[in-house]
Amino acid sequence: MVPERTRLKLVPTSADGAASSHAHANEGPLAHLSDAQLVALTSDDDLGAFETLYRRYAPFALNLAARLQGSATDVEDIVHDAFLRARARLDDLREPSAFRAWLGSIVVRLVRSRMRRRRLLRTLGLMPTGEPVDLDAVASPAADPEQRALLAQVYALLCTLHANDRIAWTLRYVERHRLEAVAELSGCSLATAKRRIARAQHFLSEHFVSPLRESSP
Amino acid sequence: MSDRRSFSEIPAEVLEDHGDHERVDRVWKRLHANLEGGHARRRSPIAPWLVVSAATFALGIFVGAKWLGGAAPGPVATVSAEPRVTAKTPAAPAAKPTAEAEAALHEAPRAHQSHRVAAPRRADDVVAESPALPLPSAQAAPLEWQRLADEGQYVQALASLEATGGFDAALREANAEELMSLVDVARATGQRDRAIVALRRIVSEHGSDPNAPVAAWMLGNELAKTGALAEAEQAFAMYRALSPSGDFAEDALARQVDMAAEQGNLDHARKLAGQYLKEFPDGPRSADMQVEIEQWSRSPGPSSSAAEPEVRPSEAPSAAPAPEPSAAPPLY
Repeated sequence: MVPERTRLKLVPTSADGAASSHAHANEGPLAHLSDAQLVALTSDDDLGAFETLYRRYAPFALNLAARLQGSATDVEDIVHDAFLRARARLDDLREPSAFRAWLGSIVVRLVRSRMRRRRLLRTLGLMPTGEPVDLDAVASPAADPEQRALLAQVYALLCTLHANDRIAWTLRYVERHRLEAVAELSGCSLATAKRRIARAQHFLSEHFVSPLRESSP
Repeated sequence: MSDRRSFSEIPAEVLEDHGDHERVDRVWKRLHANLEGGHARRRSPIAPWLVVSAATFALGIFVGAKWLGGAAPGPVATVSAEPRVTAKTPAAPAAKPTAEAEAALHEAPRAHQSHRVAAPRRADDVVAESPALPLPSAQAAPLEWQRLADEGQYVQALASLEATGGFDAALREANAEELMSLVDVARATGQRDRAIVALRRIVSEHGSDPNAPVAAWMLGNELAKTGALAEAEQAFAMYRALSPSGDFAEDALARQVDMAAEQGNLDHARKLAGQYLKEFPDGPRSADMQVEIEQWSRSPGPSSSAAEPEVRPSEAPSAAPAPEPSAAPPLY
């Protein structure tokens, strides 16, 4: 009767629509195949299947990398490396239908490594300043000035956080994943993911200055 | 939760879309070239050399640090990462005494409006200042086991703990945050008893810490696995007391029902199930609860408690422990 919660499953969210919003992801002769089928074909060195997987999830991976970083710098490298790594380690994927989440976790790891590498360089004095937030890489041209101000402030604050906390918060509140998905993508337990989000949230709440309050009398 | 009110999810439409056709094609061309070159399914032969280089570098750093006699701060000490580092901001000056900074960090979340008292700062300022922020003395470099635990290397973290005084010694001196890391280490290395001890300490000694609710939740889960159902139920009740509208509030009440039913305390289970239906009429377990209430009503349980207390989350988390409807021994 006691539900077993040791193994958490990735729950699809509204963010899942990201891939399907790109028409080109649905093109090609293999586009009708499921992820599991494409993974199986890719394991047999079917390049077409891999390309279909790539085109289905490249927009998701690109957006994930850019939003986690707060800039578009190197996102193409990250996504390139993520897909190369995914293909090289496809045998490690135990549940082929969970390719998207698995790919996401690879992107998260690569972004985290990059953040840590840059921090180490800063620590060693080899990089004078932190990587600035590129607002245009984060905010859509359709965003109004208030929304842009909010995003600028949030990302500036996120930059001061530990990579793990920053990633967890971004996955939850920017990428809009559920807690279980954040844990899965971050490669940590649900409790750890929650603590990281709470820590980041606490910090943001402490230091965030609402643009709305600024303008109000 | 105040969290949700102060920062709701950022709408997708205000975020830039990086998945444009040109970029996707550009990356694919590179990928394709690499795959054609046969790099895809082959481990890089340079990897072992990188590992050796990294190890040599790390050894050099270690020897250097030893040689300098610890005069120079370790690399981690200069990293401005954790929230408490930002004590430099007007809301929390860097000169604040260490204990005060610690208390501020561990303070339970307040109403979000009161958090917005910091003077307006330009986003650029925050970024520009971040690398140079000084660390308060309490923000010393994290211990090796903590660093390893934070990276998910729990076995190594345990080894590091054992090499530096042992798990139990760390447990005695840990603050709430460190206790949570110890819990992670203990759970990941199969030491449930130790995890339970650490979780109990968080709940009982750090009730106002932001970690306390999730600790109570985890404690309930761990106790349930050991078969200590009465105590598990108390822990789930404690979660609800600490975080009445928390992410796991619905789950916690459902687990209370489960625990009570498994103990055969059907009156109590029925009461809790009724409360579940009242609080979460659309909850994922509501249909089950309805059925179970009917079943339990037909079959009188072995125990009955006419004077059972109303099972409500208490309003003062740290001061009032969760309601203890069953005859279990005190949890804390």
